[in-house]
Amino acid sequence: MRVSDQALFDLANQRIMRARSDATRAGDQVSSGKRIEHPWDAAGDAGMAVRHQQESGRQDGIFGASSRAADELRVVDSAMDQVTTSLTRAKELAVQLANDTYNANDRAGGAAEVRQLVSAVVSQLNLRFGERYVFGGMQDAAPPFDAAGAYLGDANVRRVEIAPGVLQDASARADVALKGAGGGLDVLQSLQNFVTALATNDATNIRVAVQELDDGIIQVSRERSRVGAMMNVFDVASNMAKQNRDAASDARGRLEDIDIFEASTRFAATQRALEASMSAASQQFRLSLLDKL
Amino acid sequence: MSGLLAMLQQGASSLQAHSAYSSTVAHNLSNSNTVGYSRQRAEIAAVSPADRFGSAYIGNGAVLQAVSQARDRFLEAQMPGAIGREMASGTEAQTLQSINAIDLDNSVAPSLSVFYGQLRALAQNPGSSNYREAAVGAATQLALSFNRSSQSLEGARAGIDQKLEGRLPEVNEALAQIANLNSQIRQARGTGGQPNDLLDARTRLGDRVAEWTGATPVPNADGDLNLTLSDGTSLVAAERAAVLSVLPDATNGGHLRLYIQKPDGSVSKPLSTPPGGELGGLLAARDGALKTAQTQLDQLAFELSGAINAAAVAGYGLDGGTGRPLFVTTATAAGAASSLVVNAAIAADTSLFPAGSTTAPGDPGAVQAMIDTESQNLSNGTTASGSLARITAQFGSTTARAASMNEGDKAMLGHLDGMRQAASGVSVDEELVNMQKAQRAYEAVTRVIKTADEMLNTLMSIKP
Repeated sequence: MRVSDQALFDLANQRIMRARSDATRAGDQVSSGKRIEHPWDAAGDAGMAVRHQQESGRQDGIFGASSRAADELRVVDSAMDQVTTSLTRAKELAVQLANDTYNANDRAGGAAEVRQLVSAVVSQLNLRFGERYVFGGMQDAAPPFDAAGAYLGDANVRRVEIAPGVLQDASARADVALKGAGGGLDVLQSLQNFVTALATNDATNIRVAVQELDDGIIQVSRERSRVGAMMNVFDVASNMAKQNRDAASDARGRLEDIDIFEASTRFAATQRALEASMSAASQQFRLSLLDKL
Repeated sequence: MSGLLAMLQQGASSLQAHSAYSSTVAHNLSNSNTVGYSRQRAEIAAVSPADRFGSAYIGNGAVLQAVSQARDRFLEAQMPGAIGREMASGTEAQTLQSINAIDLDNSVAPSLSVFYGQLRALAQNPGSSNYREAAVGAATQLALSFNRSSQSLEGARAGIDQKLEGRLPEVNEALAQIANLNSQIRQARGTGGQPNDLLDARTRLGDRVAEWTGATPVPNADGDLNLTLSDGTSLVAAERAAVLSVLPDATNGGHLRLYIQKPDGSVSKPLSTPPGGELGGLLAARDGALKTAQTQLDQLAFELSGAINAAAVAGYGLDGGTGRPLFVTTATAAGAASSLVVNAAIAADTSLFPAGSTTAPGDPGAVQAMIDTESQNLSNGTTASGSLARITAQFGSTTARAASMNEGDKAMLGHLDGMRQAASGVSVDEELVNMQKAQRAYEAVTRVIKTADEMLNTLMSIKP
């Protein structure tokens, strides 16, 4: 084939430009670690990468929510443990002071201790986690119990997403556990009754308090068990969400990220190709009849 | 004696011929890098008729018969189409590849993910001022992402309009020049010559017009270069040229539409089908992938904000107020992405964020309903994140298709250009050999003249 000088130079130019473009792209991929930087690098994979990105974000949100719910429930459980401890101490006092060997003065002293226990229980039940009162249902902006132990919250249970579209109860029912909503025992009222019985040296009602406090401890423990079960659910949910998030991130990474060995090899190959095209061009340019005549 | 004088005359004529041969070689060498130049050949022929002496014929030397161009008509006919196709696909690919609004880390997707993440955090603590601030911040970020992506796409489309408008004077000038060259070439041919450089200039301009519009030549008996677009619309007819112009198109968001005043001087009308070449590539990018992505983003912004607002207006703020949308945008999908903003009242006072389905401060009912929109299908049968994935994949696919087509078109053009260069290009080596050949012949003819002169001197020195 007849080769014109312009064709010679144009061809060399095109080959060098193409080789340089390939080498630059391979270099970009090696330095960025990304196989897909733009949608057109691999359109289908780019679309899937967006889906994985969204799924990773969604699972991360669920992981965060589940973890926070589990943390909050741990604080709730700890508070209920303190309440149980106070009730247990009150029951010990009731058993002790029900004995006829104790007189009015002894029982008045017991009443003072039980009043402090009531205050401690109310204080525990007005616990805040972050900016909210955890025992008030959805009325969480103000303390759910007043000093007398009256419940000011509501009967709602907060629910948190543990999987896309799946909600799980995430709060304790203080109205059920302590106030006997739904047919249970009003534990705080029982404590107040116990204080009155002690103050009035009423041995009969002190004996009644023994049984009521025992029932109250069981009632609080039952709610604590529910909280424990919820904590387990959220622990499992957060683990699953974390795994799902990591799986989605890995899937995205597999689509987007380069295989460093393959990319490095390709980078070296494109550099060689660039060198070869430059050498070939310079050799072709060197030979000319102009130098021979 | 007359024979010797004839020899001198022959010498003079042959010297002229070989001088012209050398000049043509020099012209070729001078234009070895001129784009669109076709090498020329001085065709030297024996002078006829030869003189008759008895039964023999004695030749009268050499004369320059013509200076012709080396052109392959078959290749020349294919070049404009190949140029137009390569330019169209290349321009479309290059234009689309300059857009980064759809890139994975630069699009709406990360903001959408953060928005839902913040809603989940708020759902756990709807009364928290911190989480309310964060949720409103994420909503603002999402709206800004839609704004930025849409404006980036619209900016690219407006940029294409400017490029179109800026290119037309050059196109019209080239069309007028081709019509003018048709006229000049007709005149030159009328005098019997072949105006090679005018032909080259016209071919060059034809190639430029093909680059810009994808117009292809239609031969006629008069040797004019008539150009038509793919739908047969004439751009150049003999000595008359069309005039292209642009006007805003209200049906296409005010973007420019191409109009043509045909060579017959008729009233300017919209082009019925888009041209090829650079203009076609620009229009394909503007009204193809860019418009589709923009429309899809608008639709997504409109439907997503509508779904979230449906949950929001049913919710209650901490002040007990209800009926407040979280986002404000257009009444229809058109332009929704670029105008999407967070409700100014909520942005100014996050306690108004409608988080609850009741007035209870810890009620996350409305936020939960907003979170549920993440899994809801939109009118296109997929979720918001699915829509984003679709937008990304479609845009990527269209861009990759254009780039891939351009690779093929470039290869085809390169092949044709190589063939054209092989037929018409200048080889310096070849021209140097031709130069040597001309020089040798010139020297030989000079020697003939000298010999004839010596013979005449010899003859003149004979004394009677």
